[in-house]
Amino acid sequence: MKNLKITALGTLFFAGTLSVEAAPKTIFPVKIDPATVDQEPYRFNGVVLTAAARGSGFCAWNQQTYFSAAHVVYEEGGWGEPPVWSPAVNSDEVDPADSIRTRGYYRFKSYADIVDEKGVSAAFGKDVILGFAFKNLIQGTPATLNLDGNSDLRGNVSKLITGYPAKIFYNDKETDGYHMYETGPFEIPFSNSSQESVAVTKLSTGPGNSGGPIWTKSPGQGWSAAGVLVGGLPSETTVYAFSNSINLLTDSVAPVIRKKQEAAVPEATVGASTLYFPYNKSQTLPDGTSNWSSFSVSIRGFGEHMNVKTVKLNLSIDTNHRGDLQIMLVSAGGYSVILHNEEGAGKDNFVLRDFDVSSSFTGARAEGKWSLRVRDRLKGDVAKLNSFRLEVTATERNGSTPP
Amino acid sequence: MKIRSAWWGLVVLAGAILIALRIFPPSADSNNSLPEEQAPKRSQSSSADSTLPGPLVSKAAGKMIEADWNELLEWIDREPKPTAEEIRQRLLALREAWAEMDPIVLAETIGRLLDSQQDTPTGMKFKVGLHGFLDGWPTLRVFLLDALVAADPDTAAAVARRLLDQTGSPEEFAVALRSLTREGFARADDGELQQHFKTLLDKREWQSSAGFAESLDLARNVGTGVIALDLLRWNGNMELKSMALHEFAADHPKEISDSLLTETDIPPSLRATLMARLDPQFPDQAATVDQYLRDPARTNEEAAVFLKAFPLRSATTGTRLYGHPPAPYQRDQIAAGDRAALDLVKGWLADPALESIRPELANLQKRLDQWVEEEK
Repeated sequence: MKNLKITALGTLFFAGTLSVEAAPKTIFPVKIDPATVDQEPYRFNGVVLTAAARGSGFCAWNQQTYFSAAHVVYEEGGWGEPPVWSPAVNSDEVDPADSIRTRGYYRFKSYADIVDEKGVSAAFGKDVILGFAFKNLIQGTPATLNLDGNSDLRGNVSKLITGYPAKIFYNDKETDGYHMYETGPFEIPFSNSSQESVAVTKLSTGPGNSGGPIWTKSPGQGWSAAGVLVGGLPSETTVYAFSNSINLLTDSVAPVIRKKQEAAVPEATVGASTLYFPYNKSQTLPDGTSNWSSFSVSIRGFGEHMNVKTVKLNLSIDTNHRGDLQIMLVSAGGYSVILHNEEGAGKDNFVLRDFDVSSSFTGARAEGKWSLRVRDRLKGDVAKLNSFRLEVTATERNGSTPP
Repeated sequence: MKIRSAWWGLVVLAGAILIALRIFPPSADSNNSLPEEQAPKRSQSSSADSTLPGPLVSKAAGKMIEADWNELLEWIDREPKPTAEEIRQRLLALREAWAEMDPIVLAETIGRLLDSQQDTPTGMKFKVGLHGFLDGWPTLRVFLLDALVAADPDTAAAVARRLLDQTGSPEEFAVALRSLTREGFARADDGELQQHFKTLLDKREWQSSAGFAESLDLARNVGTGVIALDLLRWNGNMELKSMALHEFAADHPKEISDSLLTETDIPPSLRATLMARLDPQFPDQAATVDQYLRDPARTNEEAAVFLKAFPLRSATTGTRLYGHPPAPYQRDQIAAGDRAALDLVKGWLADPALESIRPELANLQKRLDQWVEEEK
């Protein structure tokens, strides 16, 4: 059994049986041309510093957010000071005047990761954070996320790793200062490792490069961030690869960086579309029954690879006693929200206008049969469904909508 | 006799209609089903239909679910064995099909299938997905419990309660609990959920399982001081405990604050970082933080851990079994808390009694000065 440990430099290496000489290297980091540091994708990079570790990161998704590796920023034993971010450094020293003390970070983690029998390797499979600050971390636009990263990295597209290795190829010789390095471009396909991570051999980075980006580029397009470098060995590199599930992390961070007055910005952006699905058959509801009446609409027109971004509901039910009614909305696949639970004794008609139920459906497949379920368990007041209408905004699974 | 035959005929007819509906979904209804468009313009169509309750249709639906189940059991045992991914895809499709069934029949039928004790391992890991749905079911019984989410909430809760008293599986326990935590009419009261949480924590033999680990999210979902205290006193996996406590404290800082002052058995660094989650914009929480730091029993080491993290607004997030993924903080809330924290720190710096931690206080003031300026 090889011993795994996390170095103070914030990356993973094997100690013991593997020697540097035994591992054939084909690609390793080289310093970037200093004249290109302001160009893409280099300008998205930054050094991430904590009291105990040095690592890499990259500003992506939003100007005030950066991705890095959890083992770079999460201090052993608990939560400490948020890390310092130094953008596009390429010198012997990090200039404090150019550095930003970030405000915090969200770590992507599940409870099951902790008890996974694969232990450390499983935890590293999801070793990613999204940090945030209240000022812009770089000049200009942030990098875009490639949410097809997981499949692209396993394919033959062009790939490039950038960052700040403190050692090259895991030997004992430290690099000088904080110079930006690049590994590649290369086209070697990665293979599945554990959970959402992918790994490749015959490619080495070095301690300190952890948290840095791996970029992918399709012909005719620029570099986009396809994942986060989370681990390595001599001649092996492990990456947390982006997929649609990273939206969960960005969705959690969105309220932290969104100013209240900006909340009214339209949700629909590139790759998103909004469609309305009405149900206009007026229908009397069975009175005094424990059974549900189900009214369905087929959500179509988005395409198979579109996920729900927002859902709003307009609903009108005539009744003399809305306290009789229980109402649910169920999506294709069974995601559901309870809209009304016999509240409002003595009050009449139940009406919802542009009622936002997005939080119960975000990320789910948009297309399919959605049902409004209603029941009137109390006898005496007969209710009538007039109409309802769903307003569904869906985004492409490889799209991301920054706040 | 004739009436009986006619009744059975109706059952068969209703079943045939249901099968036809599943194979051939309702066609577009031009009167009311075309979706209205918003830019970008795209061509699409939609359909609308309704199902009013009826015992004949319900009975047929129940038989269909049972038929699906029996076919599934046979398919998994057939040679060559399907792969875990093939099983996963089939279960996803089945869950989606069942979500369209009558919700009461679905719950009752699942209850009967669970009572039958039939089960088969799937080769999958227990994995929580979006909105508390599972993405991985280690056994078919766990899948049945997962499918309850689309069922009638009351009946699903009754089925879940029956199972919680009997099961020896942490994964079944975890998913059954979900039926009691849904917002709305079937949600169990805090007392009942606290009791289930206590039962869970006492199951030492479950503590290395994924189902047990994911169940700890129940503390955040319930959010009471009682459940926080149970978690603080739990003598189990420290990493699990720390994560659950931090997610609890991020969502419910007030509910944990008293226990942090009175419980003596908390590791100092854990207490310090949990205390750092309190929100000083609220006078009662600011007073708790002040009392904590000034406590003569507080060591400088613990105070230093607290002052490095305070006000702690980093967090863990991910898919969770009981409710939404953690997103505990908002920009305006953080900004107000930072301003209030700065006022507190200025007071501490002026107090000679806190002289021994002055360097840590000065560092914190520097950080807060920067953040308050940036947040303007």
